[in-house]
Amino acid sequence: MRKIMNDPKSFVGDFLDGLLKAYPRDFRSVPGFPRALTRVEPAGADPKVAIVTGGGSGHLPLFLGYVGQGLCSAVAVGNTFSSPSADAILAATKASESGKGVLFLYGNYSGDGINFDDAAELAGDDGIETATLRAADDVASAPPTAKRSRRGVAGLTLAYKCAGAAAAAKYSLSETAEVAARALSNTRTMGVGLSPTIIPEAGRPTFELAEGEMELGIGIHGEPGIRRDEIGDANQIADVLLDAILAELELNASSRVTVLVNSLGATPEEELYIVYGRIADRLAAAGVVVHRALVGRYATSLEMAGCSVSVMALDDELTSLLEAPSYSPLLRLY
Amino acid sequence: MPCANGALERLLRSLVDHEEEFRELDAAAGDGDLGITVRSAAVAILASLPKSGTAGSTSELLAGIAHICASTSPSTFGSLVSRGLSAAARALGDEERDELSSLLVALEAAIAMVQRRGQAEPGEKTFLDALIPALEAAREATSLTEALPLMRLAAIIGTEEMVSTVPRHGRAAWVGERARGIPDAGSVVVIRALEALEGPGVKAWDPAWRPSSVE
Repeated sequence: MRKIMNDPKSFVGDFLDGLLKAYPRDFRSVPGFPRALTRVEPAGADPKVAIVTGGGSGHLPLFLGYVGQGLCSAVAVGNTFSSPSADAILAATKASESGKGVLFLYGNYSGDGINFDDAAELAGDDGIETATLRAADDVASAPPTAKRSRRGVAGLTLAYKCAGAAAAAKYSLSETAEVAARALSNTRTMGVGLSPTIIPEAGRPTFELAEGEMELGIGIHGEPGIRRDEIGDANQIADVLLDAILAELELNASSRVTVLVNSLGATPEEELYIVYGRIADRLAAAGVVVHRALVGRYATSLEMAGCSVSVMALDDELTSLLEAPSYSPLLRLY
Repeated sequence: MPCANGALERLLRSLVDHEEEFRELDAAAGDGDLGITVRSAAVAILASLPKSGTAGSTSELLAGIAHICASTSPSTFGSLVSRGLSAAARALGDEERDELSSLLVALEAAIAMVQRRGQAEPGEKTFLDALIPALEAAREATSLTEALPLMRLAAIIGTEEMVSTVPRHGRAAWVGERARGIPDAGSVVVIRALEALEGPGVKAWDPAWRPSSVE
């Protein structure tokens, strides 16, 4: 195992410690809850809807990298690929809410759902209003007839950005939730894995790929995808991913979209741009206007090689929210 | 009901010993964190157990274990087990019962809660398919000693019946067809727990499944 770490059992605590030391102006842990982090609010910030997210570790910059100005307010951090505790979510919620309610925005995984739901109930007991939205953008994880059971992957990036801008613009909780719901329902993602991932605490790959094989439809936990295939060239891979997305998004010659090409960890940016080049050509040929492209690491699976492509269909409001300023030291957004 | 801390310790140590089996099963059909989840919770619970026989009621013990599971292992499995144990603790309350009645009350409450919070039905290849047959078997017994082997065998049969099916719930469901032939990892945790509860002499179930060439 080629990993730089100390005791594998303290992997998450150790990386959080370093991250807090690296960005003391941006992140703070909640006293007594090392797994709950909030953004550092500017002095005299007005009350606004708080957005709390969370999930397992191993996906940086997801989830905690999306805590920042114009983005999420707080995050609960789980073990590698494992949900955060309801206690940590509740602590993140209490530390970041300012009387305008809290949006829980996270990926559709059963453990996260159980813990966020418990935290919502406990927050309600304390008079904190919450709304919940779960990203389910991965087209490979269930057929269109079972959309609600799909997992949430890189598409969360775009929902965070829109919801964060809405909250910063003083939208109410229901308005912020409505924006996030629209961003999610307008977004589809599909990924491909070229090498497995190793959970530090386990020390072994979760699956194995033969030389020249790729896993289509892979998730962000190293869980196997929908089928294995010979590795194609970049254009073939881009086509498979884009075709699966376009089959569902119903774009036409007047559509505008945002495209996100995401590395699953090990794949370098050069390769992502090769994929994006093909996607841009395909969309241009279909008359679809790409409003913006994001290319880089946005939702990873530790050291997995591979990439995902997300496409979000835009309307005027989502476009202006995407354009709003935002900042996190872990992200390159608009 | 007095707390059978010896049996509990045996159970927890056995779960720690089976970490690699759980990890392999979960990696084959899920995301591979189950071994870590189970081990870290079991280790934390072991560390919390009182050294002497000064423990409180079974209800208090289960509530304490539920809390440890929720804070140290809030994965899907850990969270469901935690919620199930909390429900069991509430159902037991302070009432005096014999060992078998306590087990039935606790297990019924736990299963109902796991089903509700996990939104799973029996037959979807989850650990309910080991737990529910175990509960049904326990209902046929007249004592705890008689119940434990019946429960273990029922859990094995329930698990084996699902091996050839495709999971319909949780991360394993995303794997779909390729999880056919792999025993449900959570059900195997239930089997290993029941084996340990029954006693040291029990012949361990062989899942007749081996991970592919992962090294």
